Amino acid sequence: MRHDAERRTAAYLAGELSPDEWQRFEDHLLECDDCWAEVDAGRRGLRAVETLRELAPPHLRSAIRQEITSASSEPRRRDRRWLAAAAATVVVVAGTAVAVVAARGPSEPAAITAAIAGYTDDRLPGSDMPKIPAPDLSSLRMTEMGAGAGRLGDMPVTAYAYRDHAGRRLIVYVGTTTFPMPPSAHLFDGREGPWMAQRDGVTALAARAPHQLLIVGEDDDLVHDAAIALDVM
Amino acid sequence: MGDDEFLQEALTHVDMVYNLARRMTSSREDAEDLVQETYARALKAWRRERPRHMPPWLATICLNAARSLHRRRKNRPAEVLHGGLLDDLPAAGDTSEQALAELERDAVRRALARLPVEQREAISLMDLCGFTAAQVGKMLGVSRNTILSRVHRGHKRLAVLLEEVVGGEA
Repeated sequence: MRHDAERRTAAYLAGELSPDEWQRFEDHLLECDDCWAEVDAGRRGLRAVETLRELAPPHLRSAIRQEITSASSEPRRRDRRWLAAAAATVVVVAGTAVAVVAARGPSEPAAITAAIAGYTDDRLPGSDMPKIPAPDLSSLRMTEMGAGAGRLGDMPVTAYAYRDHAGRRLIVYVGTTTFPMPPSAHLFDGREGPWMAQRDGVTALAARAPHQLLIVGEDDDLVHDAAIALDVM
Repeated sequence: MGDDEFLQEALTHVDMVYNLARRMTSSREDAEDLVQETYARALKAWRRERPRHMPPWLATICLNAARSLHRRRKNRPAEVLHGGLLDDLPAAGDTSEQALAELERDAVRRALARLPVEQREAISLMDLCGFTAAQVGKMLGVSRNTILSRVHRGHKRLAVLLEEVVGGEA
């Protein structure tokens, strides 16, 4: 019992033990000072946190309602912005690598540099047939435009390119080894969680450990939405 | 029609989102901005696809929006939370009882802000938003047991920090 007292105490205080487990734990508490102390400390912390619970101010509800109502009356406003961005991308890509291939950061891993360059150039790392089916991004209305297996630097990967009706693009790279993390990356949940790096307007987000999936795109929100859709956040 | 449906359903969870936003930002004003950003992002996603279960979906969007906000400000949440919490101090019109309660809550806010962000997120999502450990685990991409450990360690640390405050005032 003492071995998992921490989790059991947390589940007990959160009301997440089954009736049988709850009864056994209550019986155990009567004869175990250590677990009693755990529960006592946990309960004091829980009670303190609960004093912070508050209601949202009424004006906030009104502000949200107003914002959404006005967004509904101009439904294409954001779409127009995306279309403009997509049009700009087409122009830049058509103008080839002159403006878009940005300088690699001083210590950015080669695989990440190649992944971002591949996205910027709208180019997959190889033409070998993928051995695994494409990750499903249909929930985001993203259509698979192409796939290919090859290498990013020394790293073997399979890449899948997607595009939506507004012209927004994503590339999902699936590796058999861990994608190396740039020093400037932002960690979401410690070293086991996802990480994200940005350069020259392109976002690269690696799935949580073992970090073998990388999503690359220009739209920060879309990259995050894709990570949520693929359940890798 | 779709946006109205979104409003009707999503606004019933605004207290939950606000409580989460309050713990991820340093002031009421920032929390309100974060809630509005969350709803704007949620509407955009809603137009693409309806979530199966709205509360954890909204909470996940709120957490992601908070991370984007902190990235834009080049600050980590812990640093922001250690900053100004002055809007939570008692107001001039408070009775002595209200003022005392507000000072106690202020001590809890400060103690909570000193916890590692992983513990603070888990505690906020379970204790203030009402999610189960399994739901929080799914949102944060870790196991239920990890969440239970984070919550319990956070509670114990909070109790110790608050005792230090009381001891320091005695």
